[in-house]
Amino acid sequence: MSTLREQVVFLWTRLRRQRPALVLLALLVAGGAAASLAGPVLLSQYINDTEVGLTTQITLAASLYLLTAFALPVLSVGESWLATLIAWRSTNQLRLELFRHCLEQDLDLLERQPPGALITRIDGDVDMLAEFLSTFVVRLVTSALILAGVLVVLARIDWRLGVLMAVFIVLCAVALQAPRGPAQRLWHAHRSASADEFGTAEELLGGTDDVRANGATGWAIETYVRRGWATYTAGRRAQFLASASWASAQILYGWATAACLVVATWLFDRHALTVGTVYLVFAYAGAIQTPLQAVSRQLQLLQTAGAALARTRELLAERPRVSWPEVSRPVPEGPVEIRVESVGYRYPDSAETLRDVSFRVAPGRRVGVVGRTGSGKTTVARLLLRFQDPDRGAVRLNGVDLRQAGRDQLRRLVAYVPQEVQLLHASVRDNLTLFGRSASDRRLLEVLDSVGLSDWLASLPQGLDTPLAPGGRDLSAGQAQLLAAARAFLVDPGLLVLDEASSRIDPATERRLQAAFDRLFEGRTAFIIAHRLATVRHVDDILVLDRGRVVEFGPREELEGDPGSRFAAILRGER
Amino acid sequence: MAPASRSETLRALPVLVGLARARPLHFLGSSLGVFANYLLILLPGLIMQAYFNDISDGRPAGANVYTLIALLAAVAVGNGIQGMASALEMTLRMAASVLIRRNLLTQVLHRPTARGLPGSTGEAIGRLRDDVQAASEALTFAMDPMGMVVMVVIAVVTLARVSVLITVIVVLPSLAAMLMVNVLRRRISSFREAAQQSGADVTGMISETFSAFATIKGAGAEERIAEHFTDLCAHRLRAVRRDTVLTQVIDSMAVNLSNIAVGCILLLVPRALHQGSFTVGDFALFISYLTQLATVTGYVGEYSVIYRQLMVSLRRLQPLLSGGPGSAMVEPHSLKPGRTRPDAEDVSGLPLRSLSARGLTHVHPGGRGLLGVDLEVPGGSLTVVTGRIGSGKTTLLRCLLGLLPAQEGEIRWNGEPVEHPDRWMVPPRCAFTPQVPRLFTASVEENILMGRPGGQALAMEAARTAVLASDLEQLDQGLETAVGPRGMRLSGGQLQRVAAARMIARGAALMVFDDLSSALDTVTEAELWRRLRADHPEATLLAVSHRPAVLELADQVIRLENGRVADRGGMT
Repeated sequence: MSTLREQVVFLWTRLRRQRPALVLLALLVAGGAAASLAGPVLLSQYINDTEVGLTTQITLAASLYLLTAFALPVLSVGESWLATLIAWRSTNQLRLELFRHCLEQDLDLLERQPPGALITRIDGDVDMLAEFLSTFVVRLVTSALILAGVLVVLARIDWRLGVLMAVFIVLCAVALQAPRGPAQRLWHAHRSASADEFGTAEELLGGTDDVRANGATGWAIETYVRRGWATYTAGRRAQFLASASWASAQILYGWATAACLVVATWLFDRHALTVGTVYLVFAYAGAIQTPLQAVSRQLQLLQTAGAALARTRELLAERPRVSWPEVSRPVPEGPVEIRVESVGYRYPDSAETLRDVSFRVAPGRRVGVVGRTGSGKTTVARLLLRFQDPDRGAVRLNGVDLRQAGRDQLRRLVAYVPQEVQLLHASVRDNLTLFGRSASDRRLLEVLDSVGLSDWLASLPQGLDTPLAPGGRDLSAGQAQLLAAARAFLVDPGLLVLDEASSRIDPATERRLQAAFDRLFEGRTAFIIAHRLATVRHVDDILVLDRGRVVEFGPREELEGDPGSRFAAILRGER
Repeated sequence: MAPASRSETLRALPVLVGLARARPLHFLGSSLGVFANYLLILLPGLIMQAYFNDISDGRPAGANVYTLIALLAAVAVGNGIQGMASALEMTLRMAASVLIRRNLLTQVLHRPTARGLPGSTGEAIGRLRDDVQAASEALTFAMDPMGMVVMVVIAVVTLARVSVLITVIVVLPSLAAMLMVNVLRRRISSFREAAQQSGADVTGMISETFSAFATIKGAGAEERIAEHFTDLCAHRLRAVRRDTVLTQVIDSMAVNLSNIAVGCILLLVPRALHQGSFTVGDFALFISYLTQLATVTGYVGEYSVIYRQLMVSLRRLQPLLSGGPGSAMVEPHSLKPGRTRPDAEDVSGLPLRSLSARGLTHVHPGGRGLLGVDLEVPGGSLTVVTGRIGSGKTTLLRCLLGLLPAQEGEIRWNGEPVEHPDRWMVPPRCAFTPQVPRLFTASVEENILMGRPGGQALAMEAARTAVLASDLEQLDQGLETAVGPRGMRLSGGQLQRVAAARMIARGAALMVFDDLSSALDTVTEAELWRRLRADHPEATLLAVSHRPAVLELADQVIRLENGRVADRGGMT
C-alpha cells in the first residue's frame, strides 16, 4: 500500500496539464463558498435589523441575499462543467497510459489479467478515479473554505465559540480518518473480487456453446455465484465500516451544534449576544454540517478511489521481460536468414521448454516445422517474433541478434499469422490494416483478391467500410484466417511466420490460399508451423522438433527420400 | 420448430418489485432506515422554533431552553443510528447487482439466440457492470417516495399553521423544478444513452485488443490501436460531459429555487417579524424546513433522472435476457454458493438408434447458411461432414444441437420429432466440442468435469481417451494444474484435447465434434480417434473434418456446398 503523499504526487502529475482549468475552477469554488457563507450572515443581520426596525438595512440584507441565491446556480453549473472536463481529460490520459502500458507487456500478461479483468483495470478502476476527481476535489476545497470561514466568524463573535468549533472539527476529522486504512484494504479486496467476478462472467459469456451443449449450465452458474458471493461479502464488510465512520460523524456534528448553542445561550443571558447573533451561531454550527457531510459522503469515494489507485499503480508497475534497445542495430532488409543458436527457453510455471535448439534457414527458403503438440513449435515462432527472449543462446535475423534490433523495423520485417485469428469490431479496412492509414484501397482490394476473398468482399453492403460484427461472427473460421493472411500480404515482410495458419481451411480453399502464399513467398523466407501434409509438401526445408529439441533438419526432398528419416515416417503416417 | 418466444419489454416497476421480493428482509430493513431518516430531519426545525421563541421573549433562559438543546443532541444520536441503517441500503444494491447478473447470465446460458450477444463479450460485460448498477441503484425509488410524501405532508401542514401565504410561496419552486425536469426528460435519456454507449465502445475495444494481443504485437500495431483508443476516449468525454452537466443542472435546480424563495420571504415578512406576529422561532422553522423541502424536491428531480436512466439501462439489458421473460432478471435466488441445481440428467431417448434431420434451414443475415439439409445418422456410426468454408458445416451442427434455431425443418431422435433441440441435445444424450473451444479459469480437472460427478477417476479416464495423459504428466500438478484464463497456459493442442476430454467425460450417446483436428497434428489426432472408438464403441460420432485419415475412418461422409448436401459417401 502506498503512502498518501505518493498517491497525491501520482494524481498531480496527471492533473498538471489541466492547470489553467484548475485555476478557473478554484475561483468558481471560492466564489461559491463565499456566497454560501454570506447567506447566514445576511440572515442574522436581517433579524437584528427587524428587531430594531431599520427598513433600509432590511431591504439591503434581503436584496443581497437574493443576489447570492441567483449567483449560486451559475457558479455550481460552471463548477460541474469544469470539474467534469478536468476529471475526464486527466483520466482519459491515465486510461491511455494504462492501455499503452498493457500493450507494451509480454503476451503472458493475459495469463495474469484476462481481457475481462483488464476492462476493470483500465476502465473500471480509472472510472472510480474520474468520479473522485470530479466531485471529491471540488467538495474538499469548498468544504475547507467554508470550515475556515465558519471558524473565523465564530471566533470573532466569542473566542470560546471558535475554540469549541475547532475541537469538534478535529474530532470529526479523526472520526473520518481513523478507519481509512482498514477501509481502504477492504475496498481493495472488494475491487479484486469484482475483477474476478467480471473475468469469470466474461469467460462464461464467451463459452456459452461449450457450457450449454455439454450440459454444464448448473456448473457455470455456480462458478459465477461463487465469485458474485465473494464480491458481495467483501463489499458488505467495506460498506459497514464506511457507514460506521459516517454515523459517528453525524453524531459529532449534531453535538457540535448543541454545544455551540449552550455557549451562545449562556452569552445571550449575559446580554453579550443579540438574537440575530445567536441565530448566526446556530446557522454556522449547522453550516459545518454540509461540508462535513460532504466529506463523509465522499469518504467512501476516497476509499474506493484509493483502492482503485493502488490497483492502477500495481498494473503500471508490471514490466515486460522483453525490452527494446535505445539504439538499435538495423537488420539488413530483404529475404531473411534465420539463425537460431543454442537456444534454451523455459516458460515460468510450465514444463514446456526448448533445449539447445540450433538451426539455420537460408534467405528465401520455406521451412516447415513439424512435431507433436507441445514439442516447442509455437515457442520457436514466438522467439522469432521476439514476443519473448531465449534464456540461453541467441536468435539472429540477417545476422543481427534480435535483442539489438529495433521494434518498428522488426515488425515490418516479420509478419505473423497467429493460430487464433481474432477480428475486431471495426471495418474490413481497419481489420486489414489494424487502423493503419498508409495502404490505398487498390492495394487492399489486391490483397483480398490474392487470398480469394474478393467474392466475399463483393457480397458486403459497404465494401471495405463494412463493419465486421463483434467477435468476427460474420466470418467463418476459415474466412477469418484468410483475412489474417491478407493482413500479412499487406505488410510485405522479409520473413513470414505462420502458426498453423491453414489448419481450419477446407482443402479447396486451402489450395487457393496455397497458390496465393506461393506468390507471397517469392523472394521471402517463410517459417511455417504446419500439421497438414499438404502444407508441408510445398516447403523447401523441414524442421522436426520433439520435446523441445531439434531431432531433424534438412532439405525436404532429401528427408523424404531417406526412408530412415523421422520426416519420412511422419509422411507414412507412423509416429 | 417453435420460434423463440417474443420477450416482453423490461419495465421498471416489476423489476423493482421483483428485486424487493428477492430480498424481503434486506429491503424491509433498508426501507425502515430510510423512513426514520425522513422523520428525523423534521425534528431540529421544531426544536429550534421553540428555542428561539423561548429566548426571544425577554425572560432569562431557563431549564426549558437547555432541555431543548439536549433534545437536539439526542436527535443527533438518532441520526447516527440511522446512518448505520443506511449501510443496509447500500448492501442491498450490491446484492441486487449480483443477483441480476447471475440471472442474466443464466438466461444467456439457457437460451440460444440467433443473434447472440449484442456486441462483443467485452461490451456485454460493460452492460453487466454499468447498466446493472443503474438498475439496482434505482431500488432507492422503491423506498424513498413513501417516507418523502409523509415528510412533505407533515412539513407543509406545520408551516401552513404558521403562515399559509408563505407556505404557498415555498411550494412553488418545487413545482417549477419538476416542470423543468419534464421538459428536459427526452434530452436526459438520449444523453445518458450516448454516454453509456460510448463507454461500452471503450470497454469493447479493450476486450478485443487484448483478445487479439498476439496479432497486434506481431503487426507492431500498438501505436495505431492506441490512437484509435484515444479517439474513442475523446468521444466518450464529450458524451459524458453533456450528460453530467445536464444532470447537475437538474439536481441543483430545486435547491437554488428555494434559496430564491427564502430571499422572497425576507422581503415579505419584516413587518410581521417586527410586530411579533411572525416570531424569530417561526423564521428559524421556515428556513430549516425550506432547506429540507428543497433537498426533497431535488430528490424528485433526481428521481426523474434516475428513472429515465433506469429505462435506458433496462433497454440495454433487454438483449441479455435472450428472449426470456422480464421476471427472470429478478428471480429470487440465494446469493450463497452451493445452492445451484445441477443440470437435470434425463435418460429418455437412450440408447440412440438413429438421428435424422429433414429440410434443416438456417439462413444467416448475410445470406449464407443452411438450405434444407437432410441427414441420417445411424446409432453407433461415425458420420463426417466436410465441405468448403462457408458451406454450412458449423451451422448444420449448431442447428442440430439447438445452438442456432432452425428456421425450417425438423430433427428426429429415434424417429421421434425433437421439439426443443436446445433442451434435448444435452448429456446424457449428446455432447459437443466446438470449433474454437473455450476453457475457463480453473484446474484441468474442473474444466473436464464442469460439475459432473465422478471425480478424478472420470477426469483421468476421459483425459486418457483424449490422448492427454502424457501431457498431464508433464504439467506441474497434473489434473490439478490451473489452465489460466481461457486456458491460456495450455498449448493450442492441449486446449483442444481438454475440450475433447470434457465432451468425452459426459458419457453421451452422441458426440459432436466441430473440427477437432484444427490444432492437433495428424499422429495425435489419429490416436485420439482410435482410442475414442475403442473406449466408446457404442457412441455415435458426428464430426466436421477435412482430414483424409478421418474421412477414411468414417462410415458416412456428407459433403456440403453452399448450404446444401452436394455429395453423400454411403455407408461402407
